[in-house]
Amino acid sequence: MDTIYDAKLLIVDDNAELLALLCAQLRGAGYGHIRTAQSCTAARGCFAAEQPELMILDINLPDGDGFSLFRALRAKADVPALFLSARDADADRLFGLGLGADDYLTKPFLMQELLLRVQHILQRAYRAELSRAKPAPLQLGERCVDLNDAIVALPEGKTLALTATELALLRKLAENRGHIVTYDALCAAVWGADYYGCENSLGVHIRHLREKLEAEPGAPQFLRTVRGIGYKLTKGDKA
Amino acid sequence: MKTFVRLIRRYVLAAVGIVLLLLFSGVAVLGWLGWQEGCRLPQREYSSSEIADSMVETAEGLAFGAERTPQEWMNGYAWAMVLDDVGNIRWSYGLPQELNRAYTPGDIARFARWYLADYPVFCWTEPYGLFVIGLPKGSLWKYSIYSSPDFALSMVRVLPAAALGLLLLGLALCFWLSWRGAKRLETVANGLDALAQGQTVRLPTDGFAGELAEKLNQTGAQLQAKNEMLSRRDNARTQWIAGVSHDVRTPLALILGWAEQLEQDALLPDSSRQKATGIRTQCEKLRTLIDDLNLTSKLEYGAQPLRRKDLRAGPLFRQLVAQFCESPLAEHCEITLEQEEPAEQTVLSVDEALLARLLENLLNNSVRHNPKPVNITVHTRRAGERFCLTVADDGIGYPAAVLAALNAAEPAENAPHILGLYVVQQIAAAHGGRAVFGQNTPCGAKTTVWLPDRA
Repeated sequence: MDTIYDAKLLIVDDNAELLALLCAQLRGAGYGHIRTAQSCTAARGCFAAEQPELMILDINLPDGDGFSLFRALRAKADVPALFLSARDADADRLFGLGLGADDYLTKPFLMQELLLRVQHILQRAYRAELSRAKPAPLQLGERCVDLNDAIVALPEGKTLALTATELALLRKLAENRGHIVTYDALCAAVWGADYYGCENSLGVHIRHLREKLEAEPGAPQFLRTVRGIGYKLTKGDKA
Repeated sequence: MKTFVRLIRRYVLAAVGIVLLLLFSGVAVLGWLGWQEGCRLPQREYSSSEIADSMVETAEGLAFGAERTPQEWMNGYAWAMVLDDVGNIRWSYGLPQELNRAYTPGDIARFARWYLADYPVFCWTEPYGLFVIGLPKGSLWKYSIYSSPDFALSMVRVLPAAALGLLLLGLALCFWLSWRGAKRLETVANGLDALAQGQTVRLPTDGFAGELAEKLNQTGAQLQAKNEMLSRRDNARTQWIAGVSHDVRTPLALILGWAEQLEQDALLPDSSRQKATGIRTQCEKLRTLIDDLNLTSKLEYGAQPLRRKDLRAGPLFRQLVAQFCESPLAEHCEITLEQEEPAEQTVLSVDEALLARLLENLLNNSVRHNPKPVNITVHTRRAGERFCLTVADDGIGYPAAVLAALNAAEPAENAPHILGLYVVQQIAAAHGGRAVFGQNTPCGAKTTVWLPDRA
């Protein structure tokens, strides 16, 4: 699998209309290998025919429940799974996550939210596999960042090297490009979970990073501050 | 147990009071009897010694003192006589015929101690002889008491200690009896405590408090039956709401998904895509309503368990606000998070999901109930032992009816629909805190949520 969009998805839900909607949205987002099933039996068949790389499972199914199905399929292979259910009780969510599911989303849901969750599960589960494929350079306006070599290429042909801390920060921001990353998440990415006391250093490293990434570090175009919360690496020229 | 201590103390004090009352009553009765006795005794104006001392020698022999008449001296007495050294009568006054005129030492020894021919008599040795004076028969009883000096002294010494000992014994007995009674009542009191805490009561019905225990058992059974009925009704209501919300979720997911599809379909005219946006927005409102309805019924009837975790406030609120910033609603507002240093370091013991819901509802409320984009400030600070979260905007503020409904003790009949804010109140209360709704200055709505740290 070179990208997450090459992942094979198995969607199990008894509602045919919802299945069609999910397929359409996932295909629209770029996922090309999608199988669907409306019952536990059909899901087992699909799983046997071709092992998926991510399962999206409903819980209330006509011939069983999603929890049992998950257990049965997980016994065969360690495939990441996301429960998508109308059952919103804490007990159900906790039970599902306790079984080992990677995520639990209750209906009704925003399709964008589902797509983001699927993306995150795949990135997390297949990080090693995906990292073997050389990641595309990070384009920030006229500057280009090679995250493998930790080098920023300037338009005039010069290059600037990133320090290890700057690289770790930029990786975290790039993974969540377009989304806010809190101070805490950035600190944890660089200094680990026990980061207390490092918050002040974060501002210094971000300033250095801006000096390398931005044409005008005083008025950053890409690495934006979200006051009181964290930072955000914008997707394009706008926030 | 305080009741029992009070009960025992009251019994003991009552016993002390009773003992003292009896003591004083006894003394008073004795005094009264003595006084009565004094009144009943023959009225004698002069004592026998006074009369004996008043006797004078005259030329005619012995005679009463001249300052009184013989009748005055002898008032209250029957007769008098003076014996010489050999027992012969030297002088007499009113001496009855039945009495001898001469007495042997044996006679004198007998009547000096007892009676002379049933006359109670008093004797005085005077220089002129032995003065003997008799009272009327039956007017006085004479007793002789004999005791060794040691016994009499020891009685004087021991009597106060014995009285004190008896008093203490009485108090101890009273304490023991009241303690026994209190112990028997303790079972009943424990039953009352259990009843007050809504527990089942099954008390033993033997002993003197058996009838009371039986009545308590009956009351407990009635309360339990009523509680079970209420619990069943609340359960049914919660289950019904949960069931309905579950059934609505899948169709709503489809509507929401289709609306999103239409919204993103570049082939559709703008007007149709705007309508799709409207459908999506309304679906999201409906989703929030269902979530709130479900949550409020669970919180109301105690069906929502609190899954508390110790969380540092700083990262928690940054994460929650960041989540909201990622939501479509954030496009309609500018949100600022301000956390004071002590508040940021505060460790809160909260249900993260419920706190997220609380903040989401407040932020949603600011965005959805203001026609124009608003600036929202989320501020955290410490106020003494409590943690204070304030969400304020610069919009149109809470309508007066909403504030009145939020501050009312009971929901009014035509109260505005404030489910989301009601859920905020419930979540704050479930964490041992409270939510206060008011207006921001110079304009807008302001909600302050007080939470105890590590509640």
